[in-house]
Amino acid sequence: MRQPTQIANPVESLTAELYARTDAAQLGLKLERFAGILTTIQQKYLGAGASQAAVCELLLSLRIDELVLARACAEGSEAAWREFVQRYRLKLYDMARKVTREESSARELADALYADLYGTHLRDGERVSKLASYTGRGSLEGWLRTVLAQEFVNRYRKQKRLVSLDEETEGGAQFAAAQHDPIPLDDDRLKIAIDKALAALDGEDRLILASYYLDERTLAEVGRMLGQHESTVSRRLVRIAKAVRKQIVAQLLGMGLSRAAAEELLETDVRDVTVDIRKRLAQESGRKTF
Amino acid sequence: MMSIPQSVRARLAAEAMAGSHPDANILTAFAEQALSERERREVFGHLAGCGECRELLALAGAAEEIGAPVAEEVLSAAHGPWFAWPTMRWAGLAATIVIAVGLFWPRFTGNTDFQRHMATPASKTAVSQAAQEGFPARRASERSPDQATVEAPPVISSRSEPSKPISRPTGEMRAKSKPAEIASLRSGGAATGSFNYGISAAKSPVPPDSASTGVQAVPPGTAVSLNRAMSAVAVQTSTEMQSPAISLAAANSDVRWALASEGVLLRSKDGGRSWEPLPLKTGTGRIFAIAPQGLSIWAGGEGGQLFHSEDGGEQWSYVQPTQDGVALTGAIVRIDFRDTLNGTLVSDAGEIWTTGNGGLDWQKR
Repeated sequence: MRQPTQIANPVESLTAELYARTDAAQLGLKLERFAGILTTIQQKYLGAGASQAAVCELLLSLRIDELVLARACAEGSEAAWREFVQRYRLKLYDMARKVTREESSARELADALYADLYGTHLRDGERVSKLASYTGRGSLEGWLRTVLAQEFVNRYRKQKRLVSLDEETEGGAQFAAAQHDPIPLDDDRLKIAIDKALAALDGEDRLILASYYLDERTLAEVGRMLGQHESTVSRRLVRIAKAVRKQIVAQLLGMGLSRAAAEELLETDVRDVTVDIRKRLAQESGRKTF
Repeated sequence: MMSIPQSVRARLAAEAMAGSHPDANILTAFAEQALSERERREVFGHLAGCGECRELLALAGAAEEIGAPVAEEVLSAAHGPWFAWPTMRWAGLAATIVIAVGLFWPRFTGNTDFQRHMATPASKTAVSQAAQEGFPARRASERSPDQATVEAPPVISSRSEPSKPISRPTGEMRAKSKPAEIASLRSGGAATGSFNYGISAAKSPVPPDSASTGVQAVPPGTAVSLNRAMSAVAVQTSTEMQSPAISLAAANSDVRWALASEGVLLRSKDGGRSWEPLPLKTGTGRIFAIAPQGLSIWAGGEGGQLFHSEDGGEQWSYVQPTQDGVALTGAIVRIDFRDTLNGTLVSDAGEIWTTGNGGLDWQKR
């Protein structure tokens, strides 16, 4: 009589396979803990009711070796920390130097992040490492770059607040950034047409517009952000700008204006339109939570 | 006070947005294109309206660019085993071989007519032969005696310094080339740059023949290998003649551009081993400035003539910068394009013209 075979849970099988494939055991990360980490990650990105296929797909997309290293560091493995230091410490300083463009600030920034990564704060008697928030969705090096950039911005905010307070105390001049007050469009029809034209663009196109016109990034920078060559971005930018213009004119025609009137309205004050496009792009803040 | 990019200030001045931002993991995965299509669309939607996250991405990107880890290099220089004597001994031998190959390579390789013309001792035969073949002729009197030892056009750095005698490559120069090389590879490697006859030309016109360029020469063989993956501008010159030319090395190809002393535009498709003159149009005067941006090439010169190619120099179109019916006057002596859309022209009449849409419209400053 055949014995009923036990069908293994594919997610559990994959977890065990991934565990065996990495240095988790050598770095002191036990299978149960490893499985727990993967479960947390899948719930974070897929929610509770995800199919097993989706979970397996996600787990296979993770940078699993780097995840193990980061989490082993966060768990307090000395071997893992030595490995991390060897691989990333110098890179961290280089990244900081490129972000701050100033040697002493770079060292200060990198040291602060380095301390956070090691975990100088204690919670329930255990140190809390920032590496515990790495989920392996991108490379560990890329993640370090991003958190370094975050830390840089946070520091700047903090510094700016302190400077402003000092200035207020001394009654000195304020150094507020110049504000570009958008010139309101008098004609509601044009306003509506612009809104509709921008709404018709997909997220990527709006991102290109916002990055180039609002943030004044170079084509190369926009290209790097999108993983595209700057010449591609250049062509896309021209295409999008043309499409927006065409869409605005079409909307105005739909409102009963003649083509000449629509063109005239659009050309009345290019600066107004430009400024308003900027304003509208800025106002379209992503309010989705994900 | 800590110096920060202007864009960070603008971002901080922006209104705080509602809702949550994607975390560092998602932003990193987005930058590395490791997100699912659905997630990527969501991030696009968020980024389009969130200057803060765009700024973070840009900063993180800035931390990635220009590859060579500086700290690592410094550490290696101080403590690394590479600088131990046994290693240095072999490195010295290798360097000697490289220099020897660099010196003698052109003698034993198939130099082109142009290279021979540029390289051989100034003889009437060589000059006239080159002239007959349509290559730019040079006056024999412009050459110094020791120049005959330089077998092919040396490639030099783009830094403008006072003229120095031709020197062999130094370790410093190689080290400076490396970041540009890596940056070029990471950015996809379009050739960018510009070469012009003197920055101050607008205020004080400099005749092309008297323009001078600082040089740090590299032997031709070395230059080819060094520049094969570089997008940084490398200026090619025959210094003693005071007739600067330029070559712009492309990262993923061997296409280079040069201006000969007679204002002839030259293109090489094989990393500088051979050159072809490009007649932009019948009756074209001298070209004084070029600015390649990947496949987009701008060239300008006498009579305010301006040409543009969008396909790496195969097809050229004539462009006339005008504003309100008034055209540019004087010779174009400088062209700068920071990308394919935004560029500036300077004429020897002191005029500055700008475009923000790739040359469709021009504004005179």
